[in-house]
Amino acid sequence: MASFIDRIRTFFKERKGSRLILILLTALLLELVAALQYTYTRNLLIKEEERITRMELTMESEIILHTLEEAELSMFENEWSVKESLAHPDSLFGAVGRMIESNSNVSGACIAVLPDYYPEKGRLFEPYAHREDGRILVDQIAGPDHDYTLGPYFQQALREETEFWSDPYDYGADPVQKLTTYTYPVRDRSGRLAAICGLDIDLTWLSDTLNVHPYYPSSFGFMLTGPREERVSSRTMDYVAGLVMDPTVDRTIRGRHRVSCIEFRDPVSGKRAYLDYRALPRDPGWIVAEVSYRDEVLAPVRAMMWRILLMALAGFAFLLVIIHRFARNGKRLWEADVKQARIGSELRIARRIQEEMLPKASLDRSDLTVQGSLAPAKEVGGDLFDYYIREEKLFFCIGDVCGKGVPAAMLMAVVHSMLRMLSEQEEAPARILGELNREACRNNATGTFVTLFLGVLDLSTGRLRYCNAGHDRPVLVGDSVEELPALANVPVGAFDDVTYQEQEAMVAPGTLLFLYTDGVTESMDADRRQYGRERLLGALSACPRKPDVLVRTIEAGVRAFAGEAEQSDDLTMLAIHYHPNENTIG
Amino acid sequence: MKTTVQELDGRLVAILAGELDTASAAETEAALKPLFDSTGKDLVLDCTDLQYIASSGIRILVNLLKTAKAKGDRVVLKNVNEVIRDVLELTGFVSYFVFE
Repeated sequence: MASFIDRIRTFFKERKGSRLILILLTALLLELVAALQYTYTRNLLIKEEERITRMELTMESEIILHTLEEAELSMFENEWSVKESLAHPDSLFGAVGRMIESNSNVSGACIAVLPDYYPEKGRLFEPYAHREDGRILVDQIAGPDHDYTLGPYFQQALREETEFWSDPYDYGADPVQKLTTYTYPVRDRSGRLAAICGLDIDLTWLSDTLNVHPYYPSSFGFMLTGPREERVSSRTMDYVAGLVMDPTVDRTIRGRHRVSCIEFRDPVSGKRAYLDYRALPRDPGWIVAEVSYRDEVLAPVRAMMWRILLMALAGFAFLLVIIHRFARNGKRLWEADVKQARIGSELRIARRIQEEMLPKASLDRSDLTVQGSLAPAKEVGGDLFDYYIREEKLFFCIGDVCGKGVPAAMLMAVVHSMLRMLSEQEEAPARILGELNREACRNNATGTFVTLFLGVLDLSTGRLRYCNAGHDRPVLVGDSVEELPALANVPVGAFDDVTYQEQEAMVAPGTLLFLYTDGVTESMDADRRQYGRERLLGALSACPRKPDVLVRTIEAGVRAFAGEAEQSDDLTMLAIHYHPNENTIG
Repeated sequence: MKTTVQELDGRLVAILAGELDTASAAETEAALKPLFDSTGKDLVLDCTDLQYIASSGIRILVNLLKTAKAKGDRVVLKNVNEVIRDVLELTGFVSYFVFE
């Protein structure tokens, strides 16, 4: 992790231009994602268009086929009745009525009898049935102004003598009907061609269906052979018809129903379009077609494209901010690191100064052995110990500033130097502490205080004068292990109106005086249990009365107790072994 | 460490729960601000659930005491456990507080 951050830091530090590249790369990536999204959606929409159109075309052409087949069936069923009726011309009215009756798609039916077939009916005879207001009306419509023999279907049927479907055509006005006519020649019993039947099939519904496009408003459907869609220019229609007929035009054919698709550009509007069409798989081979314009097919993705683009932009802006922040933070981190390093080195210097303020860790005289130890929890500690001999008196102290770190260390330094100064002119511990307290209270905004134990041991007599300012009571390790009785004066720096009480004791030769800070007894293990005074006293009684060994042993014991738990407080000890008249130590 | 301050029977009561060590000292001192700002009320520190107090914690109590004394108010320590009382005795602060 650190090396990763380092690398990034170096990246930003050394190559500012790279930040631009990173930003550009990010932008590129985002745009790529947007483009991919666009392409994907577009292809999806085109596929959807294909699917919809294919479905519509198939459905429409199947309905057409069905309609045609139904009409053919109606004709087939009525052929016999027409044949029978040929013998009696008037019964043809009934027959033509039945032709229309049986099939609701049949809007009109006629039986155009060949000229002069019935001499009594004149040259022309054409019973005709049609629907009007839900009723079926039957009439004879041939006359001077309606000569059916001139009609193209009649002539074709006469010529070919076979049934056929006409191309769809417009019929009447308001409403215009789209019709197709099934023309069917009928022979009489003698096998002679006698009449041409015609069934008009209403296809108006078809043009409605073909031109209702809920999906693409400009699309149009049509039957290639049928009447032209009015709203579509004839140039477009001709062009489209040309496309279908031109075998050189590329087309794709899809699905079971073989729907063909041709992509083209509308010659009128210039828009790109898709022409889908299907040829009916039987006579009359009509081609049902649909044209959809690409811009309408892709309209949803166009609308979406803006949204995607906007979102990509927003994402990009967001990323810019992040990158900017990141870069700035990287710089800050780097700067903070430099600062940290500086503080670190300053702290190390402070620690050295502090260490240099401490006396030699050990003193070994014929009547006295001293061993001190101070292990700060942080770079600098709030603990102190000191000792020196003046006029064969051992001045010694141990102290603990509340709190840790730099503020504690600073107070510690002040207290320590003042203590040295004061003790040079004064040898009554209570008076020294009283004076120190007044000085400490003078400029103490934070209310920080120091617990201190100050002792003066007359090395010639073993008389100990001491004053305890709220510190842990020292332990006397002699024949027994016990705490030095000490009054509880308040710590130095807490209240300025305090009178410190001095006490006295005689230290028996061979006794070891053990002073410590609460870092020892309040050292905690992982379960937050404290090392405690009892454990300390036990450890002290088990130790040889050799200050260096004892301090090392206690410290090792405390550290073993704490285990993996972080050292939370400074660990300070001072062991003083008073052994006058003794040749050996122990 | 959790500190809850409430007013009860005309006294400002701070309920201290947990371990008031150096790490939580600053946070606790901030939480006790209403007590530092108060005038004319007894200030009660309910130590029923206070398990441990480090010297940094004692400093807060002493500061509060000094602030209150200057205004003529009392600081009452309620239900102080043995460990904490030992610490207070050891440090000589025990005579400055009122105990309940």
